[in-house]
Amino acid sequence: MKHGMGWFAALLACATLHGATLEWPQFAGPHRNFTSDATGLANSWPPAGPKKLWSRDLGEGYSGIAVDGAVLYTMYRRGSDEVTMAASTATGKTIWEHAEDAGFRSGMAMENGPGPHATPLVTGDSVFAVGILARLLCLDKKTGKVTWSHDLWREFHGTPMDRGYSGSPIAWKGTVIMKVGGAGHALMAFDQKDGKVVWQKQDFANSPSSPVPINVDGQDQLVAAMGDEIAGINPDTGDLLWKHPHATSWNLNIALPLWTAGNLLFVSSAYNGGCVALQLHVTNGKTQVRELWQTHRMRVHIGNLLRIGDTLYGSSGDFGPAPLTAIDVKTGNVLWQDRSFPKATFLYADGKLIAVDEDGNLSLATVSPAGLKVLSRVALLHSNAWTAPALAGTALYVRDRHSLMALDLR
Amino acid sequence: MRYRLTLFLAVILAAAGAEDWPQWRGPHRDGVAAGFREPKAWPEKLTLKWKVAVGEGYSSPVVAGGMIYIHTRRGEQEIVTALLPDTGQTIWQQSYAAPYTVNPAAASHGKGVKSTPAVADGRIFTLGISGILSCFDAKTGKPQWRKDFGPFGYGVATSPLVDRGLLIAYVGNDAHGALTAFDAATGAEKWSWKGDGPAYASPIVVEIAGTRQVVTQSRRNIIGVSADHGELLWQIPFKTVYEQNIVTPVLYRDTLIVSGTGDPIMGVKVSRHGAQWTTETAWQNKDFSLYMSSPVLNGDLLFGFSERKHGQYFCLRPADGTTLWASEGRQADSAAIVAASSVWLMLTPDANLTVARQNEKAFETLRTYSVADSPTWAHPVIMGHGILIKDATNLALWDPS
Repeated sequence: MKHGMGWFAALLACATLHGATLEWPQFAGPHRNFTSDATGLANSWPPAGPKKLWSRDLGEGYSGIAVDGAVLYTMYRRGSDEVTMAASTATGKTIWEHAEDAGFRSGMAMENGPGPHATPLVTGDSVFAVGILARLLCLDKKTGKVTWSHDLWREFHGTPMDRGYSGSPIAWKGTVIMKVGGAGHALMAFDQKDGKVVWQKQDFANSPSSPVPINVDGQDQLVAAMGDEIAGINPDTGDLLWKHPHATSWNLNIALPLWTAGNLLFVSSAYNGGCVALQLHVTNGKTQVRELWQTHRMRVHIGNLLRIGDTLYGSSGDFGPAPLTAIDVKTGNVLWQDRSFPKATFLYADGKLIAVDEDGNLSLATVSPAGLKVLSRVALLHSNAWTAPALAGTALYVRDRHSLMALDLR
Repeated sequence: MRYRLTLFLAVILAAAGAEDWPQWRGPHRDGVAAGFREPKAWPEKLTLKWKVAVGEGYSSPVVAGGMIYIHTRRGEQEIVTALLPDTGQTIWQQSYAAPYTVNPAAASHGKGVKSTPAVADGRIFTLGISGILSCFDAKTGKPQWRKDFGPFGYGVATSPLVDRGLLIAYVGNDAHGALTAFDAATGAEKWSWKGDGPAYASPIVVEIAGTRQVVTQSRRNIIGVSADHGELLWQIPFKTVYEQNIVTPVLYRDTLIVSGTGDPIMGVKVSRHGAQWTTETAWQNKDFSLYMSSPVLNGDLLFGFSERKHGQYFCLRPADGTTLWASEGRQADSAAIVAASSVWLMLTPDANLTVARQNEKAFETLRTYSVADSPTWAHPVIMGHGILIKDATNLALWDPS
């Protein structure tokens, strides 16, 4: 009987997992917009926080967690090495590790944290991981054995990033697309199987943000916030479809461009970047880019934008208060700002906001154009907790620069 | 009789500009507005008296002789505008070509003016973002003289000052930079000190141990230079990360209060024994560190905005650096502070103007007002009972009465 129940539970788990979108295979989740289709999350937590499934030590790093069924992948720093790691989602125990030397190059300024910064991507049988020195690894997801690798800086002369490379890889058909930066190879696509260069195009300087695939009126595009502009390219060829200025000090577009309903694209940055709302349409194969508004009052630094209904949310500000800010997507007007939690990265699932703020608090909240309501809040992590949370099913994975933990949000 | 004499003096003082704000940080270059006519109660909302599109930049307005002046940019021109205080109407306007290629790292600051003008003896002096130093007749706007010293770093930000007929400005760049005194009337160079390049900080003129001296943060030092002859009296090595020396020093008795990003705020006692100058750290307070915000002194209170704890207001004793109180953290990205009558006014870059009671026991805010729709890096300027606010492109007068 006991055996039978276990089998039944496993079947149920499979059914849930094959609901497909409950994985978190990459940075920003399955839809690359920080939303999850998970349901059944509790509306409040006990004072000590949600039930802890496990917790383990982990080294330095802001790299996020990618979840693929029973295995999670992330990166951390150990001495002068960077480690890509697979661990059991059930226990947190390490399955395999792969270490690469990542001694800082001269001129690197790592006082905000030594990295790694990028989140691994799991697709097919492979894990793609990239560390602060822009070394892209394709690893067998079962064994951690390196299938192929490329040094985006030394081989291709990508834009040097003095705080370390941080763009998370994205899968496109049989390729993995990387932001590299520099004349002729600002964006590059590699064959997932053998690492061969499929295309390399454009001249932009690189920035820390990650690229995102979008579909505009039936046409596939890849959007990348580069050094001083937002670029839309053909992900099959790398050809430029459109670009739009978005400058910051020091080429620091960091947050992920957010693609949303009504063909609205939002890009927000700190360092005086502000936020821009673009409406994209494709007519006769040509992309029309209409700038709807700009505001300096949404300056997302290392966090993320999130759209719910007709409201855009983000922690706005550089190193100061960075209050949660709500903006009307139609007008760009600020609806409210709330200091209930400082600079945060968050995801949205089952009608609730799950936020990790940089001081290390985990919060459960509801948001609306009328305001923020914090339902539960618990101090779990240590500053700077800059890593975006990951949600697979009802299991939440969070980390700081010391530890990694899994929480049951039911 | 005595009463009458006092009244007479008061009238004279008013006419001579008791309400003037003729330079960076006001009449005494210390952020203190003694003449502010404070409202009995701070209202729920400020009244917008007028708002004028004046051009781009973070240069603060100045007020002198019944006129407001603002230095801005439009396209490739830098513009000096004189406006009527009551209406914001233009009295005169002058412009000159100031082509400027912004350092890519500072592109998002824009190409607007950062340095604040100085008005004295019927002349206004401006220093543009590309290093063009100009003198205009304050009444008519007629150009008097102009010199181009070229750009610096992320844009020239240091504000010139006038001392006894000398215009003193830190001009040039790291390789060819000099703290320089010019004849205010002719622009002829009177002295210069070339021992270090300029910083973003602005100089003050103070008297220490009987010697009038220009004190400022240079690129890698804090220096005291004779105001008469320009010779170096003393210097303290002072290097901030990425060489961002920004804060205007404050003098309390014979103690200079200085700070820079990453460094604790400190009091430096400056003294002279015969011809020998010495400097000695009187105190350090590691709880507070100033980045872009300069502190203000009210008698025995030093009030400021520290970069620690993601932005925190504090009050300390300038004699020994003792902390009196510190606000909660995460107050703002920065704050431009003015001590006005019995309150402190803090304008943050997100256009919030907060009013706090000058209180040595606690951070006591009275009101916060939203005063613009674009970034506000310029300082708020007190004019009678009004407050001038320059945002990215507009100048506005707000009335709290």
